[in-house]
Amino acid sequence: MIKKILLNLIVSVSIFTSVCVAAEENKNAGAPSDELRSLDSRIQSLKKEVLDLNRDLFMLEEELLFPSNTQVSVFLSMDIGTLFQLDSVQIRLNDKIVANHLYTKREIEALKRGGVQRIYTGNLPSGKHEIVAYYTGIGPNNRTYKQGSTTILEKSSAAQFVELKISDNTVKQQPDFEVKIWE
Amino acid sequence: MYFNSKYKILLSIISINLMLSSTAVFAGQADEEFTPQQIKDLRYGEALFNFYQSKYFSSLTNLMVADAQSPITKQGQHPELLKGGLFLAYGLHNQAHDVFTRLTEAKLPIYTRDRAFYYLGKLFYKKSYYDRAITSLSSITTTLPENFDDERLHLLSNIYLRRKEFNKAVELLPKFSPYSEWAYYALYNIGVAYIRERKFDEGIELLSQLNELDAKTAEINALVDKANLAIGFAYIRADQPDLAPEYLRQVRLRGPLSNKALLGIGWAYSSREKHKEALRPWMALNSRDSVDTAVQESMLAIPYTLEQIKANNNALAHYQNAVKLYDQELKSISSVINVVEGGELIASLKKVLSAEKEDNDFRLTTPPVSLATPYIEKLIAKHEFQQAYLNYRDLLFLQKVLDRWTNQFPAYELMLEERQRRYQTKLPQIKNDARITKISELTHAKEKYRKEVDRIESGKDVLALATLKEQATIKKLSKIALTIEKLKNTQDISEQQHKYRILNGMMTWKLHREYIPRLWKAQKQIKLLETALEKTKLATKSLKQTWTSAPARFSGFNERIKEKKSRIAILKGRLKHLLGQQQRFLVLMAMRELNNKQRALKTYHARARFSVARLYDKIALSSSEKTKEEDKK
Repeated sequence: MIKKILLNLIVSVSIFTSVCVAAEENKNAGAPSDELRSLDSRIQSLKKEVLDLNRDLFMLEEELLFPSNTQVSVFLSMDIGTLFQLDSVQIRLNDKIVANHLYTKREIEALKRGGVQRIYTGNLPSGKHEIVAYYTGIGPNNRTYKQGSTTILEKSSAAQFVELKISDNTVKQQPDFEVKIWE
Repeated sequence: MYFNSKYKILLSIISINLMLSSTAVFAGQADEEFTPQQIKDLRYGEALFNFYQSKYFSSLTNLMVADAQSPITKQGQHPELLKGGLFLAYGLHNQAHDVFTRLTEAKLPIYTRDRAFYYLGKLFYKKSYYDRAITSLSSITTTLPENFDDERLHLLSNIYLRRKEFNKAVELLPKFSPYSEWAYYALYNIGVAYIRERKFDEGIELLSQLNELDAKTAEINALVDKANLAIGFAYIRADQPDLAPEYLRQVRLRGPLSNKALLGIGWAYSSREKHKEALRPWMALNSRDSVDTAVQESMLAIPYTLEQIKANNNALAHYQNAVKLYDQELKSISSVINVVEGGELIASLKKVLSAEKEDNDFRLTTPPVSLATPYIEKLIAKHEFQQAYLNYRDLLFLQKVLDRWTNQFPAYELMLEERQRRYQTKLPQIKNDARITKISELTHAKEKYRKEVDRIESGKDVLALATLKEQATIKKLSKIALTIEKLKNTQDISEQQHKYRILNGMMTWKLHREYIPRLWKAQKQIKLLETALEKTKLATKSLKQTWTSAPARFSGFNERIKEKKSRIAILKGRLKHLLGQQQRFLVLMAMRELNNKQRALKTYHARARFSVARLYDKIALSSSEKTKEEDKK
């Protein structure tokens, strides 16, 4: 009887070893069971439909809230960004605050890798408009750094994109704050 | 406290088991793939911004919206590669397949085609189409970054292992880049595969190489532990248990595999009948958490060994302890089964998820605070459970998305209603606005001026361009001329005549001199007038178009909102059904695990109780024999 127990235990140990092997192979997404596969495929199909619907609703919302003839979007991008650690940005449009954003570490990382943040979308009639952006953060020598940039936007009847670009000026050892109007 | 230490162990298991899952890797590798690049289309930059924050749903939406509006054409094939990768990571294999197949079939630069083949190979691998995976992964030339190429080799190695083509897998090992973590995993997988096939020498030789690593990360530490454990148990299975303890002792004492290692050390000694040596590691297990299977097994192994060294009374006490512990564990597991059935596990999973936003790390990095967690640790680390969890999380996220849109609709409808109301109020005012009817009047006037300027030009009518002051002066000069004419025969006005001639001449000279610039100015004014009138006409036309098309646009929006609402309602119904099924599936998996544990415990319990009874008999028999012998004496 005792021998039988011992044998069972050793068998369980052997099973454990084979479990190790199986677990390892599963690391790269092993073949799922039929049960999981069927449910999984229905979930994937639903995901795709929700994605499609989300896209359609996104476009509907944009057309409804921001028609292209009045639409203006402000984006923020960062090039390198070693001379300025961005904390927050405030956007004023014709002297009215339209956006305030406090950055998370994750957002800063995303910006540094080349991501571009859409910080504001709104409507403007054709004509001239003033866009002012205030940046706060830590500048060279770990000093608190505040900077503003003003741009006059000549709004046409097409949707317009404004890019606020923070870059490093290695010659001056200072950050640069550029504004680019995209056609 | 319990959860803190337990979490660390569980997290390290999860991290090693998922380290190589394609979704997690996609995000990690993307750092390399989608390195900072010049943004030529802000929409692509926006998709990257979301992607880099692991907001895959938003990133996919950005790219899909761009495709529907006007595709991003200035960033090469990067948006397509990103989209395909996102589809793959999001589990939308058919869509990913379409994107990558398109990219591999198009005449694109080698760089793009290599990446497309790489993702396509991964996709086929995930779907277990190994032949096609090998074809895709072998079509890649030389443009892949090191990390990508190492993963490619790792995938190929795994395919060969599944086909039991061990030699081909081994031949890949020298091709990995130096210090590649992928190579370590490949080494481990091949080693373990050999052991599974009872080719112990080959397996142990490969696994031993992992022991030489300078493990700096938690993942590699865990991998080295696993390798040592596998070597130890391989030696036991190969009937060379004397060699096992050396490797099993190298498993970290505080690591997730330490209990198994201690159990193995005991069995290695026990199988050579070194019972006292076997007892040491098993006794060490005694003080550990009794939820662990290895600890439970050791509770039987200890008295078994004590019996072997004839310490029957001691063995009996240990068997009795084991019975108590199994009783206690059986009660605990029964109550855990009840709470899991009652929905506690699902509630705890939901709690973890509610703390997350759209944070697609694609794994359960925070274990649920559930009574079941300690019992299902291994299950939680398994791919099947993780996949089910991810699907469940995705479904909950989709529910959030649909709920958000549902909540938005009343505002949109109100906005549309308000616009319609304003339209109805303003339309009559605009239609009757005098400024609109004035345009034809202004056009008529402009035409009149245009003709007048043409007449001046053709007739070179210098006087017509005189200013009001000049016209008054000319009038005055005419009067003077008349007066001179009347008086010239009655008195001497030669001086006045001379002065008149000078003044008249000056005026005529001035008018002729100013004629060309004045004519140019007048023509310019006419042109400006025409431009302004044209703009006004266009604005009026656009205004008229707007008021004509507005009802159709309003009803268009209303129709679209209505259609979307009904799509949402249908999807919500399906979502609810799938959520229920997925919850049941998760609970079912947990229940299977718990039932297996319960069954194992019941077996241990029965064996322990049987051993108690058996030992009582044995002790009683031996003491009665002793008494008889003493009586005889």
